[in-house]
Amino acid sequence: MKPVLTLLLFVVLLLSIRAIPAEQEVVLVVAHNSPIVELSALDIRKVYLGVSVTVDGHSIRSYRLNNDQRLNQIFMQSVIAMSEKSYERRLLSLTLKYGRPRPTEVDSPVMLMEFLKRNPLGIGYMWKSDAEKDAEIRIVKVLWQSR
Amino acid sequence: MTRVIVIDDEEDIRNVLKVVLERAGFEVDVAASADEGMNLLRDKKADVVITDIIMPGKDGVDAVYDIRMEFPKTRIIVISGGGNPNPSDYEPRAIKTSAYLASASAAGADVSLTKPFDREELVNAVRTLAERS
Amino acid sequence: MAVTLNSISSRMVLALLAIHAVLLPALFYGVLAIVKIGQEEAFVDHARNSARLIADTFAADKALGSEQETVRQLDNAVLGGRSTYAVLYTDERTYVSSLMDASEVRSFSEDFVFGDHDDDVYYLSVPLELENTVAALHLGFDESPTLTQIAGVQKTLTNIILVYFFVSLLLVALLSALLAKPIQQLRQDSREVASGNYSKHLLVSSRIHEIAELTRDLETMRSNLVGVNSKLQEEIAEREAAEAKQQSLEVRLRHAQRLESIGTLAGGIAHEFNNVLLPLLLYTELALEDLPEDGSTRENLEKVLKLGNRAKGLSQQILTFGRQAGDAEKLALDIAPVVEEALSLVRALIPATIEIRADIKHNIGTLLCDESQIQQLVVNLCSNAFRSLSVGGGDITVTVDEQHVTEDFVEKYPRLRVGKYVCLAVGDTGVGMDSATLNRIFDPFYTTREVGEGTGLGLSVVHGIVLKHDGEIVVWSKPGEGSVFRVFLPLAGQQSAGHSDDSD
Repeated sequence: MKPVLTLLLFVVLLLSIRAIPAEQEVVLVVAHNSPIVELSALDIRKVYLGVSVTVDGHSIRSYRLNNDQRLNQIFMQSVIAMSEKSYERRLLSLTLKYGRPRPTEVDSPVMLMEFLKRNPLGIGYMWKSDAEKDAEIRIVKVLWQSR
Repeated sequence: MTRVIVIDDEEDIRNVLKVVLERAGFEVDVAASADEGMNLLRDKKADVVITDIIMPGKDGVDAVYDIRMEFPKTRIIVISGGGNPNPSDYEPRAIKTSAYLASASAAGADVSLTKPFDREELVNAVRTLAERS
Repeated sequence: MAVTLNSISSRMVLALLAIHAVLLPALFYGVLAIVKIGQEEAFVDHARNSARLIADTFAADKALGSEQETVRQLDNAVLGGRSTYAVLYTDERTYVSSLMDASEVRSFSEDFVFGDHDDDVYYLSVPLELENTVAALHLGFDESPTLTQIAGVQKTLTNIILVYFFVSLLLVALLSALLAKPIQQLRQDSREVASGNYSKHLLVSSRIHEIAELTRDLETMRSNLVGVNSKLQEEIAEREAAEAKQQSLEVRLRHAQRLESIGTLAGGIAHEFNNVLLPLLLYTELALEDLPEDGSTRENLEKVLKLGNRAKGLSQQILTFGRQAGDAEKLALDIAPVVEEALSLVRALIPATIEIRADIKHNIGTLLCDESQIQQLVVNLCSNAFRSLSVGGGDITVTVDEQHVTEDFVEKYPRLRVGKYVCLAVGDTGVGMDSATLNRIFDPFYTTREVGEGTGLGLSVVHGIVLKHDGEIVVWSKPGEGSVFRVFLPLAGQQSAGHSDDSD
């Protein structure tokens, strides 16, 4: 079953490459009232890899978008520096071995922003153009730029 | 004089035998059937009876038998055509004339002659029998 | 070996081809895909990881060192990290690895998926956070090794599949041949049986259950058929033989009937003819008597007489012919009914005071005989017996049974042979005969009777008939007690010592 799913995933990936949007920047976002002001690349990585990073004594939660493959690829390459598969494995072992929560997956940028507003300790990433749509969301930094 | 009775259903034969035998010096009477012959015998008595054995009506063999019974002293000559009787006339009791002849002798005939026989043959036979009786 | 679409081997091969046409591509591409995905994923993972590590080595310094140092680190990335392209961009300047050609530096589109952009290099850019500046590290990883590896796998897979395909084809061919062989054998044997060699046994030559069972069943069928067939043939042969026999009997019967009818006809004609001839001849004789010794009339009448005698001769010939024609055939008969018919005749002639006891066995066997002659024999013997009885009466006994003639008997009566005979015996309780009489009884005209009691021909006729039938007549007599005449006639199928007479 797994090889088949992988095959299907492969096909889907191949297809999604065709539709390359002309997006420019991927940004890290938080709620406007979040205590998080600045986060190093390393810390961002750590959070998304399930390592505990605290701010004011509280652990930062991570959110992911699963509606945009390209976004995810960029995120994987630029922030996580792993292949999707390696990352998934890592997240799996997180849950199984360490009992840690994995990053919450959200369907849309809008939903993600809502989550962030409810959880000020949460971080997420999205296209810059999406982040700019909501005034209550603050951009922390630019994760990636197209050239 | 020796008396002879001739019994035969054929007129020509009756006639010729009568002539021949009369010429030879016998007294001859003729009958056309066995019954007639028997009556004649009773009437006139004879020394020799010549009878055809195959005749319509009463069988020649029966005639011989009856004659023998009634007139044990009379000599009997049976004559026959030699062949087979015409089945349309009557039903023979024996199949062949030879058997008839045999039965005739069994019945008591003394001599049997086959037609056509010689004048001499006939006359001799009659004479011999006449002498015997 | 004829090739048709319907043979076992072609069907098996076709099935193999059909299955493989679906299975093998699926297998090939499936395996290939798995390998490819794995390889590519590993590559990307490694590329990203390496990029990260390389970036961290720069970031660890917090600040860039000298240009020399920076380039050296870039060189390390090229050498150690398997990237073929390492360029560091800062706000101020661009650092290029010395192992690269300057002309290779360019702007690129970042790859996020293996094999992107058709350039065999996986480009990515890693942002660097240095103390003062933000830099971007551009790296390119050579995709060719992975591509080569994938191609290698593809080739190997193809080879394996092809080998497998042909081996399986071969195996299928062998298997089908293995299967077909006993079936072929069975076919051949069956064909042989079908074409007429019914005695060819169908032997089991395969351990395959279905084929063995089939062979056994067919063999059973064959042997049954053979049995049925031979039975049928026997029946046919029997029937044919019976028919042939029937036909020959019919022919004989028809022949005999024809002859008999000719004989009857001839006899009938002769009879009438004789009735005419007698007066004709006699009258002519009479006429001659009346004529003088000479004269033409006499001459003419003498001629008439001659002709008349010729006619007599002819008539006799016809009669003889008729008799011969009618009598020539001695038929094989059961003598019993013939005797019984003769006896009925006898009974009519003999007075009722004389008892005729008959014990006639039927179905003793058949005898080649002339029916009328046998009847004559019986009649003559009976009449003789009748005449032997004295005035007081007596009995006549007639028996017919089977007798087996022994060697002793044959010595006494050499005309007989050892074997089976029909014995017709006529006995009487009459006056009997002495030995002198016995010696002469069969002489023609010999008679002891008084004048008028018989022609003397009876027993001689009997004797003649017995001889004509290859038999013998044996007489026992005791004066005062009676006599027994025993006639021995051979049963059909046996030969006699003397010549077999031609009848008539």
